[in-house]
Amino acid sequence: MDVIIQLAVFLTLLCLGYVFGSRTEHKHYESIREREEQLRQLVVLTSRLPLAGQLNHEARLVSGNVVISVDFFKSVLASLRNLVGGNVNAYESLLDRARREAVLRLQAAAKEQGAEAVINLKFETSRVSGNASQGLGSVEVLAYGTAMIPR
Amino acid sequence: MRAPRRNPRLPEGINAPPSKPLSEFLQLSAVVLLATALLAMVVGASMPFLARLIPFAWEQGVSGGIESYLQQSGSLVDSADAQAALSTLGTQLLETQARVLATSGDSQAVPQQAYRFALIDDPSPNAFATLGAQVMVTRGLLDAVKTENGLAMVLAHEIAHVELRHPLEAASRSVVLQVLLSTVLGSSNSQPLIGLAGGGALITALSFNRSMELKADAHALNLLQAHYGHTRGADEFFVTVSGSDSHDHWRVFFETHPGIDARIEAIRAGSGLGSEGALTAPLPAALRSLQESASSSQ
Repeated sequence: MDVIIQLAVFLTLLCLGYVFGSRTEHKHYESIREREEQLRQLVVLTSRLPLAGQLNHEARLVSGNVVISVDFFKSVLASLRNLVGGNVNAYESLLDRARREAVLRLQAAAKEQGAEAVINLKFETSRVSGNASQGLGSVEVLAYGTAMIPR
Repeated sequence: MRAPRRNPRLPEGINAPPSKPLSEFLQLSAVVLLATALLAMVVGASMPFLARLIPFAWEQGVSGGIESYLQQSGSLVDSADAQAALSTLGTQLLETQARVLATSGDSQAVPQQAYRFALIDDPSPNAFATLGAQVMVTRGLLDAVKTENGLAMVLAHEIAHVELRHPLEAASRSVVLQVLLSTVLGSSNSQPLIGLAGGGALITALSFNRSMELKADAHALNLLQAHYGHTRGADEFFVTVSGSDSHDHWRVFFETHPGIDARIEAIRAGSGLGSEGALTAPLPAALRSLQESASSSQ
């Protein structure tokens, strides 16, 4: 009896995780693509030196930060993957979303300050382990760079 | 260096390749379930052999003790004399067993001092052997036997379970099952082991299978033959139980011990020579007076 209840809870969580997780992911990707298109004018580069023509611009630190949670379905899928090995596809899309969202937020921050470009882009990532003991964790991705703002 | 006028449109599906999570999940869980089922079968099949290799001290280490069982259900019968009489009968049987084994150069798998016999105040007739060589007999069972031989058969049966390491085997099986379950359910905590250490919950979950019961019966008959020189009265308890088939509170016993009739047959077939006309011993006085006090109070 106990086992049946446990199994039912597990399957419910799994279904909820799958339905809401994939819906969220789909919507998020749509919004990411749309905003990337809008912000394409604001060039983001990894070069460390200012670009020609921007040598007199004001340099200012900008950053974009995002925390995304793993859904239950993804974590179960990943723990199954843990047993047999291989690419954890479930987490790959999660991190892809987080990275792109972080850059978008960085671009938004730069745009608000009137920047023409952001150089020296860097990423930081860390695990937010508030409830990691239950196997569910969140991932934080921070993108930061130097915004070049015309004087 | 020339700066691009706008960010490039990056190709999709490189960093996050397109995937079908649902079919991936089904595939993976099928593989894992198959593997764990296979593992469970291998462990289950090898447990009878492995159980004998595990030192008894380990078994004692994980058993919760008689107290943890009593906390769950019922209490000991409040008669030191009756408890002592039961222990004495059990110890006598153990001594006979040690003597029989010594003639063939063997020794007991479980040390004689480790055994604990207890009479439990519970009206349903039942007897258990649990982890840590604890043999428990309910008051209901005591009421169902008439002679010492009948009670000795039950005790010998439970002693045989302990000697054959059946509790450990059954416990290992349920632990393996729980470990596999928690693997599949994805909880990485050590609850199965906590449950085992708790003892109480597990004792009631221990169930011996049919072949274990038959083996224990056969061992018990041999022991009875060695102890009394005959096996008369061995089927007493089973006959009483099957005679009152419709009675509701025998249910417990039937659930854990299937095929009573077949076992009576087997016990009778196993009863050796010298049983005819042999005298059965009366119950020890302390146990008999307990029976009488029970019947008079009803």
